[in-house]
This record gives sequence, structure tokens and C-alpha cells, in this order.
Amino acid sequence: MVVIRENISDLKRRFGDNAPDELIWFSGIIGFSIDVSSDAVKIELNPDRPDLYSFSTMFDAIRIFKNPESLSVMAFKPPAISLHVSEKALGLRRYILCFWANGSTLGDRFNEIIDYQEKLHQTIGKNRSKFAIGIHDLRKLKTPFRYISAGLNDISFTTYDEKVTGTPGDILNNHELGKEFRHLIPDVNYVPLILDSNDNVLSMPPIVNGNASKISEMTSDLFIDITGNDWPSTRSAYYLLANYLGSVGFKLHRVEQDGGYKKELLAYNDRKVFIPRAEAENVLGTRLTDTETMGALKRMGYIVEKNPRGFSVFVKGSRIDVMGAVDVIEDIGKAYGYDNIASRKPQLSTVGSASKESEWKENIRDLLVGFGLQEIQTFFLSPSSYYQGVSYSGDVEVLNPKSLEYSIPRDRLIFGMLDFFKLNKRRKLPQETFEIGKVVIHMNEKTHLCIGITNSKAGFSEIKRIVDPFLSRLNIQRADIAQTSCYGFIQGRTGSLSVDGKEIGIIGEIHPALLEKFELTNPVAMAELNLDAIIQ
Amino acid sequence: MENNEKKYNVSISLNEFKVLKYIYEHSNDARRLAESEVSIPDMEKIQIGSSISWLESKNLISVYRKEESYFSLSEEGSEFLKAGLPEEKIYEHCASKGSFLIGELAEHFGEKDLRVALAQLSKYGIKPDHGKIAFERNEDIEKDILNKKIFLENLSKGNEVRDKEMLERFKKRSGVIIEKKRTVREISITPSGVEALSQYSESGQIEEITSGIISSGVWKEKKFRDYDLTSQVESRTGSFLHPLTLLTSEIKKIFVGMGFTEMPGHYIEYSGWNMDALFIPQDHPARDMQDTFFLKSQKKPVFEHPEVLKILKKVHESGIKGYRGWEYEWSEAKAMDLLLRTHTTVSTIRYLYEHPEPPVAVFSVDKVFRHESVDWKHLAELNQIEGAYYGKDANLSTLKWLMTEFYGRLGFSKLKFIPSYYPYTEPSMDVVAYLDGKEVELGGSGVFRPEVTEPLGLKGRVIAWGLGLERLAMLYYGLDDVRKIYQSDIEWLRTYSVVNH
Repeated sequence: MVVIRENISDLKRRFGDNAPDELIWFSGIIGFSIDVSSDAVKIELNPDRPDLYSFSTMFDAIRIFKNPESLSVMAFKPPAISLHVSEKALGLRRYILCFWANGSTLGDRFNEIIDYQEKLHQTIGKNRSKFAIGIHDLRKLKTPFRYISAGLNDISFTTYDEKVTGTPGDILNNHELGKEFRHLIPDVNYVPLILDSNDNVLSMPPIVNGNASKISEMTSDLFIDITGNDWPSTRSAYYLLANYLGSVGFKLHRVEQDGGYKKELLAYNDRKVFIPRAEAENVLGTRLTDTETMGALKRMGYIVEKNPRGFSVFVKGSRIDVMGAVDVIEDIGKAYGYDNIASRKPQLSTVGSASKESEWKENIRDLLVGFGLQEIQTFFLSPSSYYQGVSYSGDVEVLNPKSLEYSIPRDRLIFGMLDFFKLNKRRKLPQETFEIGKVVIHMNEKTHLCIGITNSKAGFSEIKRIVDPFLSRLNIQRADIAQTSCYGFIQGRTGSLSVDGKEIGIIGEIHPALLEKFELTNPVAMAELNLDAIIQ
Repeated sequence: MENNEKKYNVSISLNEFKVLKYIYEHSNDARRLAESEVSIPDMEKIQIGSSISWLESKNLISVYRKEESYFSLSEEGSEFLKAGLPEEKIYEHCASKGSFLIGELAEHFGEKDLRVALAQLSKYGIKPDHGKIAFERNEDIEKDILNKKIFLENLSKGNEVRDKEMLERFKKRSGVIIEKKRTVREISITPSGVEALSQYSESGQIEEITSGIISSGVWKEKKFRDYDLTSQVESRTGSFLHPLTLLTSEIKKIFVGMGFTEMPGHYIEYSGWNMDALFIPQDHPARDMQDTFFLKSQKKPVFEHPEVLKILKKVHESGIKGYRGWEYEWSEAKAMDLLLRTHTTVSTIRYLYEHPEPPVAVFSVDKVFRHESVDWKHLAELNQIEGAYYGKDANLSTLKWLMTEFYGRLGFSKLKFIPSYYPYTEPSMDVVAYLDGKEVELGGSGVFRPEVTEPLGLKGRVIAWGLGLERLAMLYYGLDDVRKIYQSDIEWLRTYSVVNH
């Protein structure tokens, strides 16, 4: 989720007094959540629409929705400026995409474009690992520009924030951004640089911009560079920034360059997606008239041509979420309104049934409740403290536990039940409970049943007098019991249960040493059975 | 109705009847009866007291309360009664022998008792002379000492003080008796009491019904006393299914009734099925370590249907006809990462791959894992309710119908559908319900992307919806802390009730 916010007063000044209401209305169409308080508006957006991560682009989309005729294509017009791209620089960062734009001074939008750039870095740029954006004041620079690879001591410049002046090596070592992002440069001896004709450093991507091209509220001519190694996301950033500047009235211009891009860059903008009429109808389950469909598409910012079999839609480069026809069909549905789509009963010709497993589990639960046992449910992920000094038979480890409290996929149910008794220490006795749940044993998932009783007296016979009749209810006439030893149980009062030579579980009295671990002072007797083995 | 109430008002027990009758016979308008005067064979004082309270609460008698002082033995007094009064002990000791040295007596009885005894004996004219005490037995003295003891004994039994002179004497003698206050009740019968009495047949009504009453045939002649049905009783402790189990079977019934089949699944999954098969790109935030529990094990489970790996590579890298894919280099190693499943949609897509002939309608209510910090609102493991329909007419419109039907059966009648986003559905919708005038987010839904269904050989669209069981349980059972479901108070498990729907 990406969050954008603005003060109410600034929002109304920039976009009109109705701005908060318009946003609330538009949220129902696009599907974002909005929180309007007395002094601010906060919007949380889904990750699919980075083109809406600023109020300027959001209100541009609202404007087009309300007045589709005002839609203009995103076009890069002459004159172009040129950029020479060196092969060596491309070895450090494979792609460099640039454009320039001019308009009125940035003013208010200065902060917004910085914020938008940062949002793109964080989200689709994965904290600059996929691309880095540089925004420069073109008027301070002399064209043409060069994208080169430089040695660590080749040149000296001042960073945009004037914190460090020195060679690329000095900046990598001393500037906070150098320390944070130097690992993104694959070569330890060379860095990529963008220079103007006077050898001013525009930027040292993906680390930092130079001070020579620094922008301010007064900037009106911008040069944008996006460098990266991941083609789709670098391309996305290129069009998203162009779209942002277009939405605030800047004119866009191309940069002629001799490398560092793919030819399909141009084709990505206004790319054609064909929407078969039948497919739109089949996905939405609703037949719209051509006029309705075309109206919906235009409101969502598409240029549309009607064909005999459907619609050719031209998609802006900034709509990076559109991968094919269904993405556009969804927009038809959104513009038409999900609430306006009729609800229709499907031809459900299937016969329903619960799974065998859930049926026998249900029967067993009913049986146990019949024996007077209370069902409980506890967590599958157990605290690591349960397993200190215990041999764990799960054979699996959580690589990234969030906390030690929930870190071990349980291999038995008794610990969770003892913890339950601990929680309910001050409650009325006796407490007689059962749990059916999954455990992992040697990386196999098994369904276990745990039965436990605690009382001022709770011994082997108390638990056996439940387990015996329980097993006979499952038509197990004879379960053999043999002395065994098991962690946490009292030796000599613990048996392993087996049927036809196959072990099905354990039954016995809990050892005071384990009770102490769970701060219990009343005796506990328990049985833990492998239901998978019993049900087979 | 009115008649019944009146009847109930005068309903009295046998004991109450006996007390009421006694009061009726022993008091009149001019004279109220003290509680202590009420004496009924085979009834203890405490039973009489309790009956008086009940009769008062039923307005059958008037009770007046007044403060009264009374005397009882102090600790020392009780000791005197048991071991003898000091003057008695010394009198007996000396009388047997004739005379004794004071010093000797002090050693034998202690300074304190001796001092008390000498003070009392002096009142009989017995005084020490030259360090010696000597006297003859005297009948009057012995009688007086006996009277003292009788007095103290009466006092200890709580009997009324008759010997006023002796009382005055002990009041002056310090430390033997104590004055206390108590409330005493005086009783007279009310007109309703008289009426109740006349309605009651002294032969008695049947109290508790016993096997003796049934077999003796007594019930043929006697009436059953009306009980006060509003009286409090101690609740019995039962044992029940866990609230989540109840809610789960409710939901299963709804799905089965709608023609859905329950599908199997497991907690431990490969990323390949959990993520890649659902077209979630390998660099998607959901696959970050902060969002998913990844596992490590020496034992590798079987990767089900490994032939899909090739398909997934192609779809992720270059899409399908008409769809451009994610345009990145897909890694098989990442698909082999083990994890705790993040959704049950993994079961849905695998089930459909195994059952590619439409129509198929499946559901599950099962556990999924989220890399969350656990607090009142979040759990690291929770149950996901999921329903999916695969058929020629699976679309947004039938999805709306299925959800309206499903949520309607769960008790949510008014729904709102809002656009949403999930990486494997397009279009995607979230469902909001109105509950007590508030909007409650229920869950997500959508039509599976063609990049998910087509490559796996599915011939139609798949629509699916899901929501969290625990969220629903909080609404159903009125919980304010989701952890209580798994770290429960046994009292709640023994007494819970549904608060909504």
C-alpha cells in the first residue's frame, strides 16, 4: 500500500473547493481507500496504479473521467537534445532513458515531484535496485550530454546537497547515499556518470545527483534521466515521470541517444490492445452497448477505435498495469460501476460435499464432546521456549520467524494444551479438554488428537477411562499398551498405544518437571494420538 | 394472569407456614412477637430466622427492627467458666487445708489471679492477715460463687439475663462480661399473611418431588407447592465444540448446500505453487521475507506436478497470447523455496489443474500464515474461507451472485462491491457489508487472470472469493481481541454465545 497525503487547505487551493468530495467519489471507481479529516486527506493506493501516486496525476485522471474529450495523447515533441552513451557506462548500468520537459516554474510541484520520484524509487524501483531517477535544471546545463564510465579519482564534483565535494570515490565513501547504495554498482573501480558539455556532473547513478543541475521551485526546464538494469521497470519509471509532468502542463521532448535503450520503448506508449466484444461480455457477465463500452473506456483515459469484433484501445505508457485485454476490461467494469453489474445465478450443476477428512474429524469431535471434553484450538507455530532441551522431530525450521513466540511448527499437541491449562490455572477444575490439529513430523503433516485432564487428582486411570471407550467407539476393539518413555511423561506410567502392531499414540501422566515449566501445580494426564493412523 | 400472580405471591413453604401459624397464634394487634419467642419443634433458630425473612419479603408479616444491647462473656470470662473463677479456685484450695501463706498462693496461682481472688474474697470478709490467709468453709459463700457460675453459663448460652443483680455486679467487675449491640426483630402478621394462612392446608404441600413421593402415591392427595421460578441457581458446567469449529461447520454447510466440494490442502508449500502458479512475480512484495514465513529442511517434500515449472517460466517471462508477461528472467530456484502457505488459493489452483473439466465448484476453510506481529487485531496464522467456481459462465456477474448468496446465508444481507487489486485476479472486487450501520470489510474476490488459468489447461474462467474466519468469528462472538480464539479462557469456551446473526 502506498500512501499520499495533503493538507485540506493546500488541496483546495490547488484543485478547488470540491477536491475532497471528488476524491471520495473517485475512490469508489478506482478502488482506493481515503480518509478525510478536518485538516488533511490521506489516500492509500493499491500497487497496480503507480500513475496515481500523486494528487496532480489523480486529479488529471478525474478531469479526464469527467470530460473524456479533454484527453490528450502523451507525445514527445521536437526539439530533441542529444546524449552520447558509452558502451563502458552501459556495462555498469545497462539502460539509460531520458527526456526533457518545459513549462511554468515548478512552484508547489517542486515538493510533489521529489515525493513522486521517491515513491517510484521505493515501490517499483525496489529501493533503487531496479532503477534510479535523476531530475535536473536544464537551464543550468550545456547540451549535449554524455553518459560515461569514470574511475574513482577521475573527476571532482559537489553533491546536490553540498554535503560532499570530491571524487566519485570520496562520495562513495563519505556521502550517506554513497554508503547506502554503492553495492548497486557492479564494478568497484568505475562509476557511471552523466555529464554536460562543460563537464558538470548531472548525476552519478544510482547514488546521487550533482549540485550543478539542482532543481528548485523556480525551475521550469527539466532534464530527466532514468538508469537501471531491469528493462520493464526502467521503462515504467520513464513513462510515469513523463505522465506526471504532462499532467501538470509541461511539454515533453525527446532525447536523441546512441544506445542504452530498447527500440520497443516507443511502441510501449499508445500500445494497442484489442478487446473482443465477446470477451468483455464474458468477463463482466453483462452486455454493454458499444456506446457504453466506448464511453467507459474513454473515461478511463484510453483512446478507442471501434472494430467489427470489438475495440482497439490505445494504452498510455504510464498504465504499466495493463498487460492485456482483461486489464482494460476491468477498467470498463470500474467505469460502468461494479454496483451496476447485474448479479446473475450461475448454472451450478455440481453436487457439493465435504471432504472425507473433515467428516471424520467432525464425527470425532462430536464423540469427544459426548465424553464431556471441551474442545480447544491452539497455535500451530509454537514458542521456541517449549522446545528447549527437547528433541524436535519436525525436521523443519522457519527461516525468518517474526518472534520467538511463534517460531516452531509444532510436532506435538501436548505443549499447546499445557499452555492452555496454564492460562486457565485459576479457573474451575476439573478441566478436561481435547484438540484436533496438525503437527509436522519429519516434514510430514499429520493430524493429531490430544486429550488432557487436569484436576486435584488426575492420573493414568482417569485418562485411560476416556481413551479406551473412545477407541472402541471407533471400532478399535483391541489397542495394545506397552510401557514406554517419552519426554514430559512419568516413566512407568506412560504407555505407547498400538493397533495391529502399528503405533497410534501415547498415554500417560505428565511429569512434574514439565508441569513446573508451565507453572502448573495440579496433576495432568494426557494422551496424544495420531488420527491419520487411526482412521486409515 | 393476574390470578396466577396473586397465587404466586402467597406461595409459602412448609417451614414458612409453621412460622406464620405460630406468629398468628401468639401475637395480636397490641403485642408484637419477638423473634426469640418463636419456638417450633423440629425447627432450628436459623431456619426460623430464614423463614421470617422470606415471609417478610412476601409481605405476609410486618417486621420491626430495633437495637438492643446484650451481654456476652469476654475471653477471660469464658476461661473463668471453664477453669473456675479465681476466687473459687483459691477458696477451694484454702478451705481444704485451713490456711496458706500469700507468697505460696502467688506462686501457685499467679499474681494476677491471686489479686482478683483476694479482691472478691474480701467481699465475703476473708482478708489476709500477717501474710497469711485463713478461714472456715461457709455455705453462703459457696452458694454465691455457684450463682456467679450459673449466671456466666447462662450468658455463654445466649439465654436471657434474669438475675439483674448479678448483672450489675459483673458490670462493675472489669473484663468478665462485654456489652454488645444487636438488632432484634419483632413480628406481627399482616392481613395478607392471615389470608395466606387460610389458603394453606396444614396437611402440607409437596416440596421436592422424590421417588418416595411418587411410589407412596402421596402426590394423589397433596398439592405441589408453587416454586419461585425466578430464583437463582448455580449454572452447570458443560463442554462444547470450539467456537471456530461451530462457525466452520456452519460455513461448510453453506458451501455444500450451494454445490461446492471441499478440497484438500497442506500447510507447507513450494513458492512455485503458492506464488508462481498464481502469476505472482518473483520480486513481488508478498514474496519478501517480511511477508511470508519461509522454511528450511533437509527433507524436501515432493513438488507436485513438476511439469508446471516449465509452463510457469514461460508465462512469467513472456506471457501468453495477448498478454506480455512480467518480462524478467524467471528463476526455478526461487520456485523451489519452501514456505508456509500464504493463502488457500494455492489449493484451488492445484485442484483445478488436477480437475480441468468444467464445471468445478470447490471450497476450503483452512489455515494460512502471515508474517505479522501478533496483537489484538492480527494473527500469524488464521483460517481462510475460500470458494471458487470454474465454469463457462464464471464471470463478474455470477461472482456477485455467488457472494450475495454466500454472505446472505451467513447473515449479511446488504453488500457493497468495490474495485480492488490482487496480482492473480482481474477484475478484482472487495466486499463490504453493513452491520449495525457500520461498514465491515469482509473479503476479496475476483476473476483469475488468463495468465493463471490458460497455461494450466483450463478452458474457462475461474472466479473465487475469500475472507478470514477469525474476523468473522470476532463479529459473531463479539470479541475485542482476536487472540482469545486461540489463547482462550475456558470459561468463555464453556459459556460463549453468538452475539450477531
